[in-house]
Amino acid sequence: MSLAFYVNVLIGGLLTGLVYGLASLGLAMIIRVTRVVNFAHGAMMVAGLLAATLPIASRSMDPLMALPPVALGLFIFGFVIQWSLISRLPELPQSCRLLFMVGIAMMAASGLSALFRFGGSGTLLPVALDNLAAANLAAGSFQVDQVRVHAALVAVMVTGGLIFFFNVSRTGKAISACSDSPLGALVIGLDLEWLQAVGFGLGSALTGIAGCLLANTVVVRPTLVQDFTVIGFIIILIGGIDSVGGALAGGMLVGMTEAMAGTLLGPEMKELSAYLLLVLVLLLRPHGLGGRAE
Amino acid sequence: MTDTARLIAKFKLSFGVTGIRNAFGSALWFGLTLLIGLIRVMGNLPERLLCATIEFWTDLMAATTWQGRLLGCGLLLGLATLPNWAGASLLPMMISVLWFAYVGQAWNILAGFVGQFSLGHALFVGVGAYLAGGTMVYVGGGPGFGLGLGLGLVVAAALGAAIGALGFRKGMGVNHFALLTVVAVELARLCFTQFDGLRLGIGRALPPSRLLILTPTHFYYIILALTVLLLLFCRILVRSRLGRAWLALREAPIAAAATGINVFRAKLAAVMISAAFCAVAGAFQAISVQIQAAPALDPGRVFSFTGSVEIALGVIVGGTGTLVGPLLGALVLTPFGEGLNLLAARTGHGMLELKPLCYGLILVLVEFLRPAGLWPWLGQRLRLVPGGDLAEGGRR
Repeated sequence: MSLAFYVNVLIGGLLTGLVYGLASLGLAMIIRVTRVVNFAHGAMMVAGLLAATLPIASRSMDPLMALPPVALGLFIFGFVIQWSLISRLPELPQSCRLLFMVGIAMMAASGLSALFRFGGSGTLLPVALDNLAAANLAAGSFQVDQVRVHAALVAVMVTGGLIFFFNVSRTGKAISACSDSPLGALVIGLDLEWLQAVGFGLGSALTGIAGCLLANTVVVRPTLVQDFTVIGFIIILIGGIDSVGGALAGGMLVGMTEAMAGTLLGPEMKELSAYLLLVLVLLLRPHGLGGRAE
Repeated sequence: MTDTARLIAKFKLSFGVTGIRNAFGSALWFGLTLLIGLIRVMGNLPERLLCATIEFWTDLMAATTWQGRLLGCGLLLGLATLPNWAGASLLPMMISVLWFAYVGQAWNILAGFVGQFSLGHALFVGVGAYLAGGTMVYVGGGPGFGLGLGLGLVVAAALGAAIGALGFRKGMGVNHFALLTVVAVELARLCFTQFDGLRLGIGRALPPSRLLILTPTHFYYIILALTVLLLLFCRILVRSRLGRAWLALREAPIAAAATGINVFRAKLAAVMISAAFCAVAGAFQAISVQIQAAPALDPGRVFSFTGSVEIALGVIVGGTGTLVGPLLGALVLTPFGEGLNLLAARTGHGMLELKPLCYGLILVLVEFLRPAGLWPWLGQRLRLVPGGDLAEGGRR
């Protein structure tokens, strides 16, 4: 095989990795702002993915049509969960919020699975595969799937918008302040509950958007919720559990590793390679790439 | 010897006898004196055993009201004689209840005493089950089972230590370890479904273990004995030096480290002990598959997140960090779960999601209404235990 082939594989992995990174960015952001692990990560991604398949299944419309409603819907979902439930939970046992989110995740996952089986679009898989095979962008000997390029572009745009939001807008700066020091934020008169809820909502929206973007490249299977959750956990563990930049880097790293391992070592190594990468990173840097040992 | 004398005084107090006034009391006193004399002759160990027993008895008396004692005795009697009066459908259910009580107790060592919540104990149970099952297939029967049990204990403890070594570093909170355990279970599932080295992976039925000709009654007594022994062991453990260290670092990690406790090592010990006990439960599952509905080990079912949550949920409902909690939780939750399973089987595939949905709802409700779990609260409400300060506390 030529060098160009490997570069192709690597680029494909990088494009998928950018979307993974976007999803994990949402997960890491939620942990950073609210100290809560969003166990419903996979369920949120699958919700976005299923919403994106509705335009595919009905007509040959672009799945990206589903992006704004998914983002809005999941923002509201996340906001309401944090605002009305999580902030009402007792503060002291850290495990309380963890277990609460596990409960929410189980309910969300089984609800989705029930909905999907009863009335979901059963013809979703072949349509998605058709789209996948449809168009390639070629430049010389390099070629990549068009849908992946689109997805990665959207992911980069959303990430850029997020960076802008956190560094320039007043609300964004206030949310960063809350995540850096909740007590300090309270002292200078920020509305901690409100800002944390906005942070949770934003993270959920990012997760849903990433799910939307993966709609054309993922084979739908019953274990998808769990698979997405675990890959998200692997990425944030690699990146340092609440490090936003680490999550992005981890996502790209995992995307490329999976693509390379899937091509070089066979499809059964594709999933396993992410775990091996995790173990390797944690052995070298126990707190992850972007993590801090407090 | 003064210790023993003090304990005997405490023992008498627990009967409400302050002096030797009646025949019963003097007979008891005489008997005890005789026993102590014997012990002086026999040496140190029996004395310590007696001290421990007396201490256990007095603490039990102090920690229960007469209603509680009555109910406890009734429960113990009922459990001990259950196979004689229970029907064919109740016995497997009670085996299941006791199994969950046992595993919950093992999970509780880590989650309740140390405060590190594992959402991956299905891994340790599964490792125990697969190693015991595998050796029974390849080595055969009783010796194979013994070998597999020993192997399972060691491997599960080693896996627990490996996860702990990654997740108990300085500055890592509850979340880090929980995430690692979730990932570890998923890794195990992947390995068993895709790299089927033991040739046991994908739903292969284990052979009915011929050398172990056991009936459900045997299994019932085995799991009952395991549960009671683990309960007693946990009580000893939580009062030992190590157990005190666990409680200290759960309540105040920095202060605990300042008093000289090696926090990392103490946590590692907890996860290893917990994992090893879970492996025993797994081995029990492997030999008792012949009386279960699906006589096979299916990696998708054994190594699952839902399975891990099911192990934890009983304790969370019953009361995390208490000794009674796991048993109470299993008694409440397991019949409910079995009922849901039955309902799903009756109504076909449509209700398959009902169980995780209900479990999620229960988890959410418990965390919202009573994060500490049912036990100390329910016991006080029913006047089974005296109100106020309780020995083991529970999760904060």
